[in-house]
Amino acid sequence: MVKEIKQSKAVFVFPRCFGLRRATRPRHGRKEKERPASRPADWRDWAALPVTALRAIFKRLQTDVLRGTGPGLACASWRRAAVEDPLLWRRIDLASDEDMQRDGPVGWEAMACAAVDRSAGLCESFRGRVDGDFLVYLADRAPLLKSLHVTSSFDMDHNKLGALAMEKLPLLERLVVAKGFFDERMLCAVLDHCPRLRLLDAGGCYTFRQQFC
Amino acid sequence: MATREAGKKMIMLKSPDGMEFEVEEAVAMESQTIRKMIEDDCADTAILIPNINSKILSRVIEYCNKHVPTTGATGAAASDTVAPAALAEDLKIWDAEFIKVNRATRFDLIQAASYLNIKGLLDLTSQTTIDTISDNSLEEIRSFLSTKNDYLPEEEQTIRRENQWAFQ
Repeated sequence: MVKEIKQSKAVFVFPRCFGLRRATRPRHGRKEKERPASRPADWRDWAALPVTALRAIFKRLQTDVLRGTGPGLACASWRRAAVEDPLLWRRIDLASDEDMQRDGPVGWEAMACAAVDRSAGLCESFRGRVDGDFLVYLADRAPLLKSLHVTSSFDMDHNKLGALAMEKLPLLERLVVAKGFFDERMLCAVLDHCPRLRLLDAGGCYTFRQQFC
Repeated sequence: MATREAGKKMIMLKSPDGMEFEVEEAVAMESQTIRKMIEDDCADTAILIPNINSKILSRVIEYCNKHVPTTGATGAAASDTVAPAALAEDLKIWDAEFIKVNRATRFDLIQAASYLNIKGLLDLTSQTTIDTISDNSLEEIRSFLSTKNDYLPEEEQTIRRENQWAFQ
């Protein structure tokens, strides 16, 4: 008896609270059970992958998930992981090869807004096509944003709204604008309202002097 | 028991089927979960890892062994003479071989990587899973994953409505 107690002290049992959580509880009365006798030995319940594993899978498929295509629809628990897990949307990356084209694909803004909505205020990084209206939408809903990478071309109108948006992004550390117009108003807004800024890359942009500041 | 061999701290990892693995602390600390336990001083002897059988645990240790930064004695010779880019390329090839496993083992590895919080292994296993299924239709994915379409009809309706912008 004494020996047993000593043994149990020597061994640290991995607490279950360390990351091992049921991904999601299946609905519709489908109960989690041991592998039924009829299943082969190599059967695994992929629907019940841990939430961290599903997050690792879906973070590579954000565009698919938003379009409602791909493996995110394979079963209800995977879809819930794809849609209802705000942490999946902490880093949003919707960049595509077509971002430099003037007009985005139909519905790009609705998709981007949906991604921001799903982050439930936890979004820390956004990369993708952006316009002035979307910037304001993002700034209103992503107060924790640290990194913004604009992969589409910025224009004068975007600068006006962009300057407004910067006021709401006090934690911004990294701003990259691939191409387009980046004026003094925008620059002043960034300098005034983003004290944590460590990187501003607008090297591919043009500008001209204006008396805004 | 934690022992010292040639100046390196060793950690004992135990699988639920009774196997014991003695690994260098640095290797075990590739797992963020174990690292946290060691740093919090609650694991100076042996660590029992439930839910990960000895077969999978030995593969996970193999992965960590390969990926532990080679600043110490092991592998130092290699990193001195081989350029980092070549080393990274070597790791990539090694990873590709490592992940050539059947579906069930891959599932177990994903679960273990998630449980032990080993980012590299989680990235590798999930990317491989995506590569396997991404070009398949939903039905093919379901059959690959051995899951079934468990939506209620009204749920399917909602999904269609939600994703309407994709089809406009």
